[in-house]
Amino acid sequence: MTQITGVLGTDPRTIAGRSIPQLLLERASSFPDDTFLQKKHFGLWKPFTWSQTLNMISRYTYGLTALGVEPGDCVALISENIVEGFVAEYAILCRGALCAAMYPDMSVSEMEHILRDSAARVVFAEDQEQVDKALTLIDKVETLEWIVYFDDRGMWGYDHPQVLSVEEMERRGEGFHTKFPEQFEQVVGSVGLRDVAIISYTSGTTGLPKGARLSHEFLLDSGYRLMDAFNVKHGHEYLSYISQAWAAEQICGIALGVLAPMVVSFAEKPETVPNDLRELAPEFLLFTPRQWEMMASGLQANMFDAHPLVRRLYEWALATGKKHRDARGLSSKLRMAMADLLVLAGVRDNLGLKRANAPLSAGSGLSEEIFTYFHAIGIPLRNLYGATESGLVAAHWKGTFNARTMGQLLPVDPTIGTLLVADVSDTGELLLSGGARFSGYHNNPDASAESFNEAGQFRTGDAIRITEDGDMIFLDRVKDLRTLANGHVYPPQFLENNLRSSPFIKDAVIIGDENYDRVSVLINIDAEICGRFAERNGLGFGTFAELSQLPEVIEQIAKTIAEVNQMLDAPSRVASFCCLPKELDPDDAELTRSRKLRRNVIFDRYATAIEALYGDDDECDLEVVIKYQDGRESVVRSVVTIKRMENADD
Amino acid sequence: MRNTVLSAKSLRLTFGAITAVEDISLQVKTGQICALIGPNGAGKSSFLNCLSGFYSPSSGTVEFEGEDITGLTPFRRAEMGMARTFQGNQTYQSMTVRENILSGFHSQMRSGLLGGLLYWGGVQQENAHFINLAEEIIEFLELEPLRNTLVGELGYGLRKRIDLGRALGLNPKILIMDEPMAGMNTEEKGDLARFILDIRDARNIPIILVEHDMEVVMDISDEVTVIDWGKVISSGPPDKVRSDPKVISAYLGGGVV
Amino acid sequence: MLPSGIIFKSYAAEEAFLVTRPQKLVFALFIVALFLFPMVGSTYLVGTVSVMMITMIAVLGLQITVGMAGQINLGQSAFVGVGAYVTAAMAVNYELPFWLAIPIGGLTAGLTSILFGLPAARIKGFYLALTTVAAQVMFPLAISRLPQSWFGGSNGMSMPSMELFGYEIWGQTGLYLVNLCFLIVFTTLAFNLQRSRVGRAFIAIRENDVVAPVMGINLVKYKILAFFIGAVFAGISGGLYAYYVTYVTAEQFTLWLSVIYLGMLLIGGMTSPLGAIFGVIIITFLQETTHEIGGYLSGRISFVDESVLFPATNILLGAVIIAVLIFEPHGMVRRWRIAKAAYRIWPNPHG
Repeated sequence: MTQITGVLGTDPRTIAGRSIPQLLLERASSFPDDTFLQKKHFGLWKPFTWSQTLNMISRYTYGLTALGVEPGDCVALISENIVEGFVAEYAILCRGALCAAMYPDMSVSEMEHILRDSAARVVFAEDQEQVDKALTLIDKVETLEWIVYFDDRGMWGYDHPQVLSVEEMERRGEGFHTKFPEQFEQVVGSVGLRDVAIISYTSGTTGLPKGARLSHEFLLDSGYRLMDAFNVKHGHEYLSYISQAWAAEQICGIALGVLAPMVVSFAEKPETVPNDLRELAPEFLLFTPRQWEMMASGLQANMFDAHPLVRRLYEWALATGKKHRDARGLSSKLRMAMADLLVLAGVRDNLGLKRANAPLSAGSGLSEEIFTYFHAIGIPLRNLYGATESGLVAAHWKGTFNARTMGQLLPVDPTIGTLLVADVSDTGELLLSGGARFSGYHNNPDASAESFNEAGQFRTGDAIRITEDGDMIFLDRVKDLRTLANGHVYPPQFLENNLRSSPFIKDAVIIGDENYDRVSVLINIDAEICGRFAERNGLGFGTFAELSQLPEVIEQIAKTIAEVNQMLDAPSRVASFCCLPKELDPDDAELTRSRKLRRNVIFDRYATAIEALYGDDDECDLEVVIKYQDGRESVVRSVVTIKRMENADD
Repeated sequence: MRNTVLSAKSLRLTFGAITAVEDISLQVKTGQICALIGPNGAGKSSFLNCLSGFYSPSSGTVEFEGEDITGLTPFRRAEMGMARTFQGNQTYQSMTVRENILSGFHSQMRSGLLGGLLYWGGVQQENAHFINLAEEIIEFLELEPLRNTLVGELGYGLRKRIDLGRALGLNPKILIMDEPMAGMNTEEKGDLARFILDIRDARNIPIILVEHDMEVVMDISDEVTVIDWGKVISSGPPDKVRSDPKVISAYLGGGVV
Repeated sequence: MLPSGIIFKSYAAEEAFLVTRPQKLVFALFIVALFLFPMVGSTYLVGTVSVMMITMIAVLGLQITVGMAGQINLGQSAFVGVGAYVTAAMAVNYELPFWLAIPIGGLTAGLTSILFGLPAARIKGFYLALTTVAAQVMFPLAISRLPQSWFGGSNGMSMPSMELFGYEIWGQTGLYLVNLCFLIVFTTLAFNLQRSRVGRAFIAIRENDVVAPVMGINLVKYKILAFFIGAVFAGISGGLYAYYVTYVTAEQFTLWLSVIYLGMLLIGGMTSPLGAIFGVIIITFLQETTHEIGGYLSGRISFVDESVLFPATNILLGAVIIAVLIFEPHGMVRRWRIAKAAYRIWPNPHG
């Protein structure tokens, strides 16, 4: 099929012309005493009711007004997910300003680009660490006037005229509050549904991040699609965990939080997320494939230490789950009940996922193995497909869920009107129309123009196939489908995802383009699992580099590759590989902050190893420059084993 | 002008024929970190034990906020607001992190035996109130993920942090720290130094610090007192002490610092 | 640890012993079953459980003094005796009802213990153990030397039966129910104490009595308090025992019994009131089983009689205590905690 059309949603909680601030006002007057936000603090879950939250938001809004923020200005935010960060963003939206959220672990230069590009006048910084980063930019970025911090820990000695605490900002806003008591409602009333709400900087696997301008309508419509498709109910718990800098959190937390509305919860600290997740056992959550993989491998690593009998039982239950979870018949049902009772209910409980009725994996690339693994446990994982610029497009919401597909087109808010239509172009690219539209890139009319074709369809850049059932299969990015020197086209991502699903492999980087006639791969081993494996087998190692080159570890990786190779036609198979002697690290720019591979950097840094993969030697000397956070550099040298796969050409 | 919080005047402590402290005077003012350094056996620990009431000095007086406390027992001094941390592992191993810190609030709490047995509303409220205060310290010392962990299961560096947390529970007007950094790795030392500075800056609690790590002492102290053979041989700001020839010859061994 | 999906919004809720609905349900059923037990149990069994419950109160007291506060006490049975005798005196000489006589017995036992607890302020370990043994030695001497009109001298005292609102509480069932009510109350008190300010001070002293005073804990006061409250529990136990056996003599409260109490606490685990409960159940079970086996054997093997059985039983008990101390020095409570934790995180080996 080359074209499918979506449907209209049926959920009555429609957007009906209201922007996020207007919805906020309405919800607060309808449910003033219900919990809206809650955070774990001092060991307890502290609720913030709608009226308390709105009160905070209005004080922040006046504060921003007092600092001179006008509608249409941009205010940046750099923080972990905390209540104050959400309140600050809502205040920015209520002021009619644009919010540009940043990943908390961004470097100063990444921050500089975003502050400069968005022309932010104020930046909300969580704590001393973020204030320090922002302070180095306050004189460099001309538009930046104020740094407002939430946490005063360590800020006692700061005496910069442009740095102030959020309480001080509120205090400055108090005058405005008394002078114009009606102003808050008025300001909020003038924020329109079609106004741009946020600038979401796409993590940019190539080049500098681009700022996508997303309107209230865009965020809310995507939120509605999820709510309608997955039956997200009023009062469902949601753990805000993925960064506000990511459009997905803007949709699920900021927009759907007020639309459904949900109870949006915040963990005590990033380290306590697994524990807090377990305490909450939320109904609705959205993780990246990476996070699901980490959860799965964490669980597997944990089970490594179990008593052999317990492990046998666990493996039996997993196998039963894989085979009988969705099977009919009394025998299957009985077996499933046994496996659930004895093992799997406990696993779900420990993960805090026993109530999760819509655990979503956002974006492509969750391997089939992990997907079926969670299904076997009884966690109804669903794929969700979307992008910053296209919003949420498809998901498994009609009852079928095939790990290899991204599901069906999502239902659009009836008050937005136009149905989603998915077209596949001649080049295999997915073209989208319908629903709320992306408002273009900030300060980048060329890129904005390029992202739509003449027919006004949005060009996703994704190579997609649509099945007879209307399911969408993600193949690869169009630009990432690769051709070997001999003209053979193969899907590198498919290989990478499947390799990565092995617990021994953390990342896999596929090599092989028109310069080469074979496929090879760089393996970043999982230090924890491989370390355990080595310990169990009595293998000595001191450093990561030594661990990575242990012949037994390499043998284990070779076995995994052989299994994956079986799934492909001969020319697409991996012919040689080596294990990297250091872990891929965002600090060395090898990964983005959201842990996507930066291929150009990796190809460049490991050029020697790549050359060897296509040579005849069985090992090569590799030199890698490591950059520390304080800017120091050092060169690490190691001998890397090159392993060639047998029967790669049969 | 800064107020003097604690002052020891001409303390002398002898055990039979042995003189542990010959003559040490020390003044600690609000918002100051006062370091006490000296070679092993110089009398630092004996002096500290006189300050916290384990030993009563043979002569001399200890004044706390203008009051003579020379003869008071340790628990009375604790009630008045003198807190200290200890050398080595001195936490309550079988209690959780939170319970350890909560135990520091003992003298501020009121409920007695009957209240404890019946645990009625008022006692429960008192407990909740002080758990809240203990949680403030837990947050301050960044111990949130460990609040319900038994201290016996934790590593040395964390136990030292809990020892400090428990002392902060006394809501102290002065904090005495006996070799807090001994046995710590560089990272743990850095964390603890940050906490010590934060205690001074955010809580305005003066600190007496006995420490061997010269780098840390010179880095974070406002005043340094050097003692040797039970006597003060030099005192003043770190820079002055560092260059004092008497100190260099007696202790620092010729420009180590 | 709790099942997932439970969040606390107040510290009071967090402190509750029972949180989830299944926990509350199981506990309620358990209590109901305890009350209904006399309807199904034989008279002998009901009587055995009654004695167990009386013993539990004494061992709960010992848990406070020895387990919580770390003050060794080898004279607990003397304090049980004080409670028994004073209760008897109150009931016989002053005709006080049991619900007054027993608490007075408890308080008197507590006050007596202060005398022997005072040295704890200065000494510990072996020397303190000896001091408490002194209580044990002095108890029968004191009883026989005091005027006969007080405690019946060496003849002992005969008890009236319990009365409540003019009705006589009679039979094993009646006594069982009274003992059960007392046990429930005193178990609750012991658990409460553990999490209170005083309980924390006790534990602090046990863990480190050099540091505790520097943290504002009055060592002398709390050590004496620990003896006092432990002995109050003992005295209550003694009062109930007096009513149960209907006749009180000094020979009932021996050093051997004190040692058994301590053994029960060791096996059960010193660090929780639960240990006292476990220990009493385990030791009683062992005693009863050996009695059964002994009775069976003595009918069949000629040389097995009381002179062999009594030491044999005690050797077995001693062996069990030593075995537990070797394999699980922290008692059954620790095993129980490990099992509970393993159940919670099952099938994962660690959290």
